[in-house]
Amino acid sequence: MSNTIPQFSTKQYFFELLGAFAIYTAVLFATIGRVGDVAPGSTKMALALAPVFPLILVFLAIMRAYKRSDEMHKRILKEAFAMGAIIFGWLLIILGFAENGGAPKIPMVFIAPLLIGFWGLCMPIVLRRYK
Amino acid sequence: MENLIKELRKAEKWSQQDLAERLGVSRQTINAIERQRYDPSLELAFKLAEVFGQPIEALFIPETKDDA
Repeated sequence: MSNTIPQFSTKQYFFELLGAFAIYTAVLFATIGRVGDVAPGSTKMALALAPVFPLILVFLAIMRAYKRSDEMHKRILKEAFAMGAIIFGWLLIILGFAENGGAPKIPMVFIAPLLIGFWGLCMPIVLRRYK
Repeated sequence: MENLIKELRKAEKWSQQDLAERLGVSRQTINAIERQRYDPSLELAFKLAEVFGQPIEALFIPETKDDA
């Protein structure tokens, strides 16, 4: 039984996640338009994969928040993830059917960030139950 | 599940933060336990019992079938 005091802070988590996403978005938009202009080869591949590296910051922010959490906050994070995944999954199914009707396809690169985004949006909803 | 954490904490003249630090959890978790919004894990329940020097059954009142 460890006696370390958890340092979880919703505000800190939010800002860490927001910062990581800001870097990811900046790299994504800085590179995504140029990939098509570059001839196939290692430079093209490096440009195409560039957004993957700032995405690591997003995962690190999430893992840090999880590690700082005590048992109740871990439960809240897990419940929010489950809720976000269900809602997002449901929306994906709707969009999948809508594609048959002519709706535009969502690029695969947006799936994971959107899932994390839905997770974050569900946090305040789950938190309310424990206040 | 009902509990007597708030009463026991007040008897010891501890704040929620004091109890949280003794248990290694956040103040929000103590608040949620006292307001019956969160049932602690078995590990945390045993820690609570240890901190208050009481048997675990003196801290928690399980719901009976009649209550459900």
